[in-house]
Amino acid sequence: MLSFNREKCVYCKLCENVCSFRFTQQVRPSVAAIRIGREGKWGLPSARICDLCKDLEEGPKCVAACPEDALGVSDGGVIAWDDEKCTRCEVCVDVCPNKAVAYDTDSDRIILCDLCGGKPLCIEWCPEQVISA
Amino acid sequence: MKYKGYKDQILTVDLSRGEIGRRSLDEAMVEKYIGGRGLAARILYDEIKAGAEPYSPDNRLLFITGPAAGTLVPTSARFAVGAKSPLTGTLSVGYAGGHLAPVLKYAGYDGILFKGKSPKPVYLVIDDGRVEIREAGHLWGKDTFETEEALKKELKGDFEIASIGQAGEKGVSYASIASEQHLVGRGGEGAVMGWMNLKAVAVRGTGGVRMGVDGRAGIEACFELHDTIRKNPVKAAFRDVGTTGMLIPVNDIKGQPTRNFQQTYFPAASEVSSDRMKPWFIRFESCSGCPVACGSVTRFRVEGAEIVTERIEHQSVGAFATNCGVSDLARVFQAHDLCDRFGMDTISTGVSIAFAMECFENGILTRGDCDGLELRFGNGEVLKPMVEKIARKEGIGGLLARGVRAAARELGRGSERYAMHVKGLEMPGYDPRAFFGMALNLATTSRGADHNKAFTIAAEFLGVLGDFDRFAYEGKPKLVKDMQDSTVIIDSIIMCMFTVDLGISVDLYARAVNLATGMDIGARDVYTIGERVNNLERMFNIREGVGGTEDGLPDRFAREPGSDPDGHTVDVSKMLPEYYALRGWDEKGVPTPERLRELGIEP
Ligand code: SF4
Ligand code: SF4
Ligand code: SF4
Repeated sequence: MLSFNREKCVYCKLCENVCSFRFTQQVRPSVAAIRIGREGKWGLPSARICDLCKDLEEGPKCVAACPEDALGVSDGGVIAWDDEKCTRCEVCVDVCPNKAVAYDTDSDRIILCDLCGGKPLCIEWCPEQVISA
Repeated sequence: MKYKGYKDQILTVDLSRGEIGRRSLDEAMVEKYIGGRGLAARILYDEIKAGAEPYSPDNRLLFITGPAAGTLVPTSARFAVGAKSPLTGTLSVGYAGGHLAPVLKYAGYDGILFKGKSPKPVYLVIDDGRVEIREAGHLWGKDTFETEEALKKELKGDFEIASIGQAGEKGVSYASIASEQHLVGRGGEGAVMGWMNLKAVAVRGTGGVRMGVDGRAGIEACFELHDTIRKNPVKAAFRDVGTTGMLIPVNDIKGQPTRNFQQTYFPAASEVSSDRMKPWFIRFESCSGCPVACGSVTRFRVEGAEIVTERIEHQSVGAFATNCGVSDLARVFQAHDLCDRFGMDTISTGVSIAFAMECFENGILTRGDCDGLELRFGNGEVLKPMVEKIARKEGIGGLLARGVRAAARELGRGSERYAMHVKGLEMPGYDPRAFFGMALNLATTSRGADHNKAFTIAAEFLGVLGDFDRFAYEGKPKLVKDMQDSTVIIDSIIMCMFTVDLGISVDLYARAVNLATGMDIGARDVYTIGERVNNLERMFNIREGVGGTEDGLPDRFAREPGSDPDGHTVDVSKMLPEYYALRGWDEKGVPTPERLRELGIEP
């Protein structure tokens, strides 16, 4: 799971750019697994990232909501997505309280943080050491 | 379009008729002109008729991005806006960062071409494929910050906005267009927008931009460019002190224009230096896609009020502090902040006030002419009221809102001697007497005195691009030509000008183009493209009657030494013949048909 230190974030969006590029082969921040927002001019940034619904007793909402059993918590501590089982109903996109799940129309896939398989690109690309795993 | 990085679509908006259309780019055109400044030159040359009045349906206003906007190429969040300038009568293209450019690409457009005049105030909303012209009566009269806030509320979403303030509405000749605190400055593009009755452009885009590379290898290749910048030692300077870090060193070598360029040394420089700004620091902010984050949010107090704004740049210090002789930093910040809000260029505003001060001290302007203000050098109290008067075109402000060239023409009585401009554009804060290459650059760039068209200070002073004797004439024509040409690519990709000082070489700019587009260009192509664009811009100006006779500096620089004990002056005419020859221009500064043919320009 990623953590985010908003005090240090400069709102450069490099994390969302590189994250979306890895998943979709284009820079498309609107479907990145990490999304940076900001409250008004000069406001502090905030991030939308998967926190595995750790504060919810019932556990990951997307996993529970998926009607096709296409999502599950992997050993690596990320939500794993099964391309074969997934029917692209986008229920997971709707239920995620953090808006950390997206569907990319162009590459036709569900996007969820997979920690880049072990070496998070957003951490490498962030120039401010805002993100840690 | 086989090239990536583009959306292959420019929105066309006819404000007179309320019609919205779309046009595509063509491959041959992007190969020759890349994007940004290059495309602006080509499109505006073709679109704007010879002799077009800047405030007329014959002018155009072009918002244009480069192929890198919205990609993984570093510092590529910049957009350009071009028009025939009401200040200079030449082609003028200005640039700003922030977050607008990538979002325009994500919405599906490389640019927006406006023409005509709306019968009433309007703004343009782009929400991916949905584009609408909406009524903006309720926004008219608001400043740029207020406009943005109001639109963000009204549109209830993550829209990026570019707007004009009161200066653009009123037609101040050097009015700017603001996106957050990033301003497209200098040539009065904001005034053209105001004439069109176009208050703002709001954009939301959720699509993507493909690049010339993909996969892991693509990510790594792009990261190399980021890493070059991140590892460069100059990065820390852009962060910690910003461009105002230039003040003390430039002042020490007697290169800081002071009191309307009468002197080149400001004794109170330490009072307006970057050190003095440090305690006001809150935190850093970046443009999209940039690993530098030179934006520094600051908080300061002036006249009992607390103001939060962005740290000012060296040019604003030059215009409001040293050129007006003002050493009260809070008042300088206040003047700069007001310019951002009204939407007008800080260099032209400050230099216009400095011009008026010199006229005042020489009896050409009286207290009565100046609405009762004691317009003396060093009187910081006049900055705020003067900025307000200019933005609203009230009293003396109405005269200065037209720029120093027009103001001096109207005033007469020898005031022309105090009008510090080239081709009508007010001069920036690097004194030409201290940097002969900069002198030649300022004298020859197509939009007038623009230091960013060849930042020779990097080669003549900072030592990051060679080591040239500042006072030598020899070698400068070549230096200036090469830098003017290579700068075109930065303005066309579009990347941030600061990358020149951050280790991005001409080879790496070529690589950036290739990464974004999938083209295969090298350093030689960079120079050819740059030369092509400089020639086309020149042809635009020649069509407007602005040719070689306008390639010069105000007399002051050849006649009066500044504060330098050795008394250096600079005579640009000593460098022009060689410069023209290198460019393949005739002795009048007109491109020869042969050179145009070689460069593949059909004017
Ligand atoms: S993707 Fe969203 S819903 Fe699923 S576990 Fe993460 S935070 Fe919860
Ligand atoms: S770790 Fe990888 S997948 Fe997760 S947010 Fe960062 S870049 Fe995206
Ligand atoms: S890359 Fe780092 S600094 Fe930039 S927006 Fe993301 S978290 Fe913030």
